[in-house]
Amino acid sequence: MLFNSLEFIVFIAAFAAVWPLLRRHNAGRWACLVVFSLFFYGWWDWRYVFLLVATGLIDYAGALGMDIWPRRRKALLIGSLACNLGTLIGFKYLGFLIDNTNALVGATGLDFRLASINPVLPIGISFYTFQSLNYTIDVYRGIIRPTRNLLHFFAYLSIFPHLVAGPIVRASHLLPQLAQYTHPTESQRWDGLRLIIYGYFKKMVIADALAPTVAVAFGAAGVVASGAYWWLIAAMFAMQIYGDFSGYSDIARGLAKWMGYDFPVNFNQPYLATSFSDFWRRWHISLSTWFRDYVYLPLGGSRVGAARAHVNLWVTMLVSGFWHGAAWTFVAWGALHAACLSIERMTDWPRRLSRIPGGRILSTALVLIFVLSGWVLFRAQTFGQAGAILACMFNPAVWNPQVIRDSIHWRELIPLVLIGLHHLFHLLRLNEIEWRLPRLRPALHPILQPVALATLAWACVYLRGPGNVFIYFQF
Amino acid sequence: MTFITRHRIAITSAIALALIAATALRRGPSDPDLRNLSQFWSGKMAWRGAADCVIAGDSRAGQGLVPAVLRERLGDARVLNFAFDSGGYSEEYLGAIDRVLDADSPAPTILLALTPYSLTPGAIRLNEFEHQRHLASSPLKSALGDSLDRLQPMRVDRVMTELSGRRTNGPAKDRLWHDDGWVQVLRDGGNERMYVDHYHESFQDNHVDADIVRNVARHVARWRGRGIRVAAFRPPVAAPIRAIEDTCSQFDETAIRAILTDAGAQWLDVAGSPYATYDGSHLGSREAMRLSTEVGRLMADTFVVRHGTREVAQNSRVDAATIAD
Repeated sequence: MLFNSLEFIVFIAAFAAVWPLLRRHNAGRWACLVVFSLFFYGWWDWRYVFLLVATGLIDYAGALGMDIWPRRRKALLIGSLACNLGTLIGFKYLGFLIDNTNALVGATGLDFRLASINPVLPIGISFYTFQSLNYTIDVYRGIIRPTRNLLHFFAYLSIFPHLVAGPIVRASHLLPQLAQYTHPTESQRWDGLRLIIYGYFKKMVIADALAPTVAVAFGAAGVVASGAYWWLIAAMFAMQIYGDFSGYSDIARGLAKWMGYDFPVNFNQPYLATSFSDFWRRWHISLSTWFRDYVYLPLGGSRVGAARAHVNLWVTMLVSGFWHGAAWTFVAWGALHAACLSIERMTDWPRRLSRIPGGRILSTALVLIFVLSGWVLFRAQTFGQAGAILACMFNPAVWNPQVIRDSIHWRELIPLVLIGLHHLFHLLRLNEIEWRLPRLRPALHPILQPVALATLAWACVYLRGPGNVFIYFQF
Repeated sequence: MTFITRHRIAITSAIALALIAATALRRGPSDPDLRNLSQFWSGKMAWRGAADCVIAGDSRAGQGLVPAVLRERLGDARVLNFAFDSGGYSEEYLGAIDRVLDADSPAPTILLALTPYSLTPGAIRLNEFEHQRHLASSPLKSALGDSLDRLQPMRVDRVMTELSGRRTNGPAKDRLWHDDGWVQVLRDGGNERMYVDHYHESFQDNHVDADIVRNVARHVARWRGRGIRVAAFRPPVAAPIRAIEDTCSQFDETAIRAILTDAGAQWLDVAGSPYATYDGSHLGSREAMRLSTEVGRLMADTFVVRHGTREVAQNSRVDAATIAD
């Protein structure tokens, strides 16, 4: 079920009617969460609810087993990892692996070919698999005690606001919250409402409006020979994916606040990052920290010597790229970021640059240029297309700005301008100023925020773009 | 804490709802286009036993074939345009076509407009007919139908115009939706080149499917078995679009024509390119009139010549009138 669908409005209204009746008692609260969450998930395809439940049961039993039979903890962890990763590989990567195996074998001249398969990817499988893995690994490490209540566990695994596109909430963070009921304060509900409206605005007015232009550009048979055009398209895609994904995270966080729970911040103005490590501290934070804690650090992190630390960094970023999709372009995207992070670590250029006047702005611009180039790899259908686009972007001889005038209507640029101004607002730290209208009576100042939020809500209805599905559902 | 701060959630919700409701109410009566559009598609879905001749296909047929013109050429037969945007010949759509025909019609006729895209899996999955079927099967959306139309998004540059109830200086709409199913497009020119550039996308991993073609033929044979006359043709497009279709879509016109004629359809040889399109593949109203005249003439000629005057005389006022021509 999509947050931006009529069905979801009915769904959330039903949930809002039932939740107050059941939230005070653990069993009722968990049962309510599980039933509504499975319905939410099953709305897309009810058959995949069984997959979610099956993998969840394995992790629940595995974690419980670790508590009961401490000597078999390792075996149980391996079993849980095998089941989770096996499912993920089976649904998400098997087709890719078979195709590449066939290509490799074909190149050797052998007459052998595996049958190609292309299973339907269950929505959000990468998210809930990582959420589930986090639970068993943390139980194995002794960071958390396993819950003995099945409903408590499934409430954690399936809680609908973040089930299909994150943020990935750690078991150590969410299980204790779910174990008791805390009535949300007015302030929490206000924050929740703001997040929900901001989230919908980012998704429906910004991302969805940018989507058609980006789709047309990347879907064309040939690559338009204009560097200016492709920089603009890369910027539009950057804002589309940011609006889409951070919008979803905001809505999820807002809904959680209304339920009395707290989900971690997932995006923090990523395009204002002053270095690549800063970018990854701001972009999809719950995933970056997951990879840091469950891939990078177990490999030894940066405590194992400079060379090994670079290797660990590369492994982590390549796996992160592969997590996003079963295609070499995603791996290349991860590699580009790994290279940028490695160079940054070796040269410490952002800190050096920040010492000169305007250096921080310059480093933000440099990071943005590489991030935009990376998004081309991320979005392109093939390496050939990505290469041709990047060649245009970095070749001043084919700048050709008139292509923009010929192929993009000014209306299509409005969302980009809006979100660009939003970033500029934060870059100049204007958000830290308390804004006041000089002619408005002081007693009426509190009305400004409700009016502004209501206007954004109105815009979500009447200025929404034609796009629909959230990009990160596919991951 | 002031009253406003204490009740800010309720105040925000109330203002938002008031703004949305005011816009919807302000907008509804001044924007008949939206209501027309919604009723246009749902009206098509409701057609049962209403025509002597039914036109099937995608938006090219929907915009390019004028029932009133065909009616003239076919001796006052009742003609309805049952084409849907992005239309594909799905099992459900094929099953719905003959339901539009009047079982008591003296010469029931189906005219199939076959575009390469309409025979692809992509068109089967996602098209206006499927969308309307989904709407019809969703009690929620059906119940809210008219209200939902009032919540349709607006273009930024038309917000103030729409809210003030005034029309823009230029044409506020570029198409009209007729009761007989024709979508009249009020433009003749356009940025054809841009559409051509992006037309390849339609056939990326989405080609004409042999199973879909076979299924169309199976239905043609079934219709013929029930005495329904079937004509088929490939709607004309601009030369670059046709070149893309011929190279990228795997549409083998000769083979498809043979399959359908074997099943009992009559193939109409419509001139391939002399029609001016506004986007490479769709016709404005003037060209639609011209195409309809040609298709009507071909249909009349084909059925008269192929079926002979005796059958015609028995069969229909359609062909009787054609003979009189």
